Amino acid sequence: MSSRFKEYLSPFIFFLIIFGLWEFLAINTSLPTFLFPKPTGIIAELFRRFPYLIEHLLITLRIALLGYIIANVLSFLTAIIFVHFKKVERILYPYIIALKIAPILALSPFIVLLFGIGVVSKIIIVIIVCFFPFLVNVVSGLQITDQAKLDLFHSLSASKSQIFFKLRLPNSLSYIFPALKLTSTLAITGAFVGEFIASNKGIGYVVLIATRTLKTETALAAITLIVVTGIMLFTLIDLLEKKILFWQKPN
Amino acid sequence: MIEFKNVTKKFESLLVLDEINFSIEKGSFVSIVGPSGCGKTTTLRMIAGLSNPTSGDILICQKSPKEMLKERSFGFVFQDSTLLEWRNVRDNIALPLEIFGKVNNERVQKFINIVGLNGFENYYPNQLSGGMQQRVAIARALILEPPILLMDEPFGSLDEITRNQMNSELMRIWNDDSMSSTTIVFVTHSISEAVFLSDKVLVMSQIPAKIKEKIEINIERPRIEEIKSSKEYLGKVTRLKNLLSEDLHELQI
Repeated sequence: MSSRFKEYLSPFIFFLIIFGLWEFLAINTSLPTFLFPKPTGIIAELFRRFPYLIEHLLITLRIALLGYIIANVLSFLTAIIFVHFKKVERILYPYIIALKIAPILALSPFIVLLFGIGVVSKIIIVIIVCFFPFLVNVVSGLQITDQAKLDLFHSLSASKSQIFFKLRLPNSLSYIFPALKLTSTLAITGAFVGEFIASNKGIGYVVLIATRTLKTETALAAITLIVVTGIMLFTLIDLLEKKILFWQKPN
Repeated sequence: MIEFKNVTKKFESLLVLDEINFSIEKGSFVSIVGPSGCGKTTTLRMIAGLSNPTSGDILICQKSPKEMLKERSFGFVFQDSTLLEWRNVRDNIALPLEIFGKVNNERVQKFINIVGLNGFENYYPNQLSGGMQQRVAIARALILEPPILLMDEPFGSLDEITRNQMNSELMRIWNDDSMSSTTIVFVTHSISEAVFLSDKVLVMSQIPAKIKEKIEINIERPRIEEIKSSKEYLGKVTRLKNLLSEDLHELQI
């Protein structure tokens, strides 16, 4: 327990220093609150408007998680097809890359126009953001680069499905988890961006309205909340990874 | 038992093996030595039916390698142990039985004992030393009791002391009753290892590789560390060194 404590101690001290410095500067400059709010002010705002913020956070979180799950499942199935049918991969890959390169901020207005201001357009944005990074990782995980391991299975005349379940799938887990962590943060950003483009609820909407009305403290409180949520989700998947990929821990 | 008749192998336009001929008798231990990249691994993979010759014939017990592969006639040990990191020692060794569809715990335990790993059944590969990992790989290759054991520089990444130990271990395992008729084809870079283990050493040349020489090693068995100071042993080692360094000279010129 004490080593755990030490591990978190230095980031915490760093946080306190930044926090203190910011507070000090905010008190000792004459800038108005909407330009340079105090961190204590933001925290106070967070508690003052907690029910309101949480209500909108949950809306965003629901979109992010739904999109996240759909994107990862779709992406995983695509990866399986890609690994077994090289031709399909060659045909589709350029388009998937193009979709990834096209800036999501520029695409989003079209998606909103097509699918409306509601939940669907946001989920689609999340899917687009998450799909590609997950796909790339899973494809590399499923493609066994170690020829000797494939030779081993072939020398036992193992079937395709045996190779998949006994070799490819477990091997890909160590690629899937980092990808799950990466896309968990992307999903939240994606949902947020979607709401920022056009919406009437969600934490992105809260930030949009707050900045327009110069309520910087409210905006920053909302951003703090979504960031903390993202970190919690990330940590949760990280813990799951350590539990499932037990063989990766250094002995 | 294993026959190579005028076997040629090309990768694209690169001629790797040029009309290779040799035969390996049942129950013998044959090593293949030669310069790096001369096609030793390719030869081994062709025996196992994992790669096809461009021309020529390979016959194993009068059958094609592919047919033999289907009958699961080969145990394969690679340079890296190629253990599955997510399986413990027991489950790694049981893998071929699983694929074959008949897991038999007693059998697994028997082979764990043969390679001297009892007590380590529940260890994971990352908890084992390189030598122990190769013991697991050997047990895994032997568990189906294949008539042919193919070993591709199995001790190449081990330090010399561990390598010598593993050589003696391999001789002990091969002497076990259940393995007395097993044919072993062993690829190595180490001349002393080849002489210590083999009945016959095939020396390959630079690519396009031919069989340069077939050297019979008639040192009596069981082979133990002590034979390494015998005249016969040292003579064969010197002979092989000279054969292999000819290739080096050609390269340097």
